[in-house]
Amino acid sequence: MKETLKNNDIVLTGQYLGVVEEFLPEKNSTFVKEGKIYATKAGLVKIDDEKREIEILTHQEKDRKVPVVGDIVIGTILFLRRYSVGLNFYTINKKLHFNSYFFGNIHVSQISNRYIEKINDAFQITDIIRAKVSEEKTNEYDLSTVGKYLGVIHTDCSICGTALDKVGFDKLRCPMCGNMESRKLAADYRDVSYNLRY
Amino acid sequence: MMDVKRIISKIEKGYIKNNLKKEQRVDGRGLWDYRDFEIKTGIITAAEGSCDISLGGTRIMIGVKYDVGTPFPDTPDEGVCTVMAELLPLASPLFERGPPDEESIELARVVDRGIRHADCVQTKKLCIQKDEAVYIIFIDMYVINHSGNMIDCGAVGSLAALLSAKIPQGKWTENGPEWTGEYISGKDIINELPLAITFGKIDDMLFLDPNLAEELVSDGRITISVTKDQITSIQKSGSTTFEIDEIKMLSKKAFEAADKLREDLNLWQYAENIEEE
Amino acid sequence: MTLLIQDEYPKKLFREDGKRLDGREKLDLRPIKMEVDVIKNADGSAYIEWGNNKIFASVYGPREVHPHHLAKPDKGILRVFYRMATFSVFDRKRPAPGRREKEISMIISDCLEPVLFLELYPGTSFEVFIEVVDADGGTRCASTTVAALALADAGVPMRSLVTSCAVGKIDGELVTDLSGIEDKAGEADLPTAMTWFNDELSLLQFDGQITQSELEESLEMAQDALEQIYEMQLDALKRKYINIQEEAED
Repeated sequence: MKETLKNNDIVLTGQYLGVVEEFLPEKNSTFVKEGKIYATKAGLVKIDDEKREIEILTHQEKDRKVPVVGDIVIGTILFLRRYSVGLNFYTINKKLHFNSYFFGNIHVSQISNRYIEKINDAFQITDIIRAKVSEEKTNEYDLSTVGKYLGVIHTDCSICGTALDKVGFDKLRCPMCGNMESRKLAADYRDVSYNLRY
Repeated sequence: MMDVKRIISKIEKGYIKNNLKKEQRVDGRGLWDYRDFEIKTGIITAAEGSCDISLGGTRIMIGVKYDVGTPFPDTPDEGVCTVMAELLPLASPLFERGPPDEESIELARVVDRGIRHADCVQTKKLCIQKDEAVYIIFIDMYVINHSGNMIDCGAVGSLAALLSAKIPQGKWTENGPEWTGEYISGKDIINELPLAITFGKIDDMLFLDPNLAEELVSDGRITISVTKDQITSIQKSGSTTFEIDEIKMLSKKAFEAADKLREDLNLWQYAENIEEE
Repeated sequence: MTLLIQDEYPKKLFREDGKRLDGREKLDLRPIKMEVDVIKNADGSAYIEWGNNKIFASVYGPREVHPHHLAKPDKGILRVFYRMATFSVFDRKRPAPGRREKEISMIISDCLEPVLFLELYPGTSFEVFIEVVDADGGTRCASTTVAALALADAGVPMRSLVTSCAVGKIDGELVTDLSGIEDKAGEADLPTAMTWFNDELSLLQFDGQITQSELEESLEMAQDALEQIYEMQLDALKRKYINIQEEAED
């Protein structure tokens, strides 16, 4: 391989890409051995012109399993802490993952533009929420629900388990027992209809 | 896993239901349309008969093997035909490894009952010597990709695999069963083509041939196996109930769908013609 | 199991014109066809037709480890499940996995592990499922080849592909790529696999009887065959990307 690589060239697993003086290797799709860069995936080359970073994009890119900053995820609340909540999420950009899930945190300041006094006013355990990835950490993610379409998209009454009806901007009422609750709601609460990809 | 199913039923169910209300399906079909079948027979050299069938994204590999054994005491002159199904973990993240689970047993049983009660396989023709030797026919189904409605796909595929089978013909001698040097064809032992027709139910909406998304959010389903003029088996599954009027309507629909399918697929074309070789 | 036709092996494995029973020369491979991305549900998948062998492979991962105690805190694990369909062999096989299938699963897993970067995925597992739907000798080699292709299709980082092929001895002659009959009636069978990032062997089994010089010769024959198959593997991967490349350029 003497000719230099361009964007959108097909490279195959194990192919020699160049030397470290030439490119900055991206860690997930290339590896370096004795100063030479090799591809670890088959796909199309992407070279960042400014950083000279070389990366390989596979055809699974839109179904990718690892979330990055800016992705919209859907998951359920696992537990509440004093100033944050923990949740597992299963879908990334409408792609559903059956056997793998990721763990994320939402800090109280990242829930809404309004002031949230208690976490309980915004979320409860088992709520299904839509959130945006704002930061990647090792093995977990920081999420945010600031935004009109982010927040709770489905919740059940904490007394009788019936799905709650929306009665105000952040107010919910149980059609069975009349119990009132409050949440940080997404604008399309209980009116979500999606075509998920499997 | 539980959480994933809850998310699907809360989020995607709305989308599918809204479409069904408009008599549309998420994949663009009408309520009473099948996805496309694709059938290839005779692909597996080691099997007596085989079929690679796809229904939309669902793909099943079916092989027919035979064995000669002693008959059951209560049916001394009848052969045996057994159906086995395996949901390979290769086919979907929903399938787990391990011994056959309820879903795969249901698939095998429903296909088996459809075939058995239609007198589809003429078990009397599978007899070599009364009380001594009969054929045991194994139909084994391996699901390669799961995208809903494995039962209908498996039922059609089993018939195609059976029709394309070429089984050595046996005769009874003093030393036990021996090969006559001839073969019997699948079409000699099949006289009816029962087709399984599966309907899904979401709330009070009914539709034919549920795909994976519809199957995951549906409350229940019903499979009706029919020949040209007889119903041969019915299986209702899922935690829902059907009105009597609904069953009446569906059984009529099942005949309509089966007639159309029988015409479209023309299954007899897959029959192995021994004489011509 | 009583079958009406018995499985018989011919006495001679060469025809009178010096060719093998299926018409091949000593060094010829059987026709091989490979395809990637055949199972849509899987993260990556591949299919191979190698002579009469027909094998599907699919990869799921990185995902949760089941059962949990197998998970390793410092790296991911690779699990391979090699299975044969009941109708893939002459005598109907029992549906439950046997000892042979477990051994081959382990062999393939050991063979593929050196090329993976498992340390990037602590606490998770990659599961490779291999289903042989039609078998005719050399399924472990074909399975290794197709499993490597499925892993590459899944976008799992790999140092290189892995290719596998068998060499053997029939009627006193060394030949490449044994077919089912040659495997059963022949004298020796030497399956090999090569990892291309260091050009070393990562699978090597042998049974039969050969001399030391024959071993040397057969390893060289294996290397030639492996290079041919490697080209086909790369080609199968590349075909997938030609359409994607056109779309990306539009």
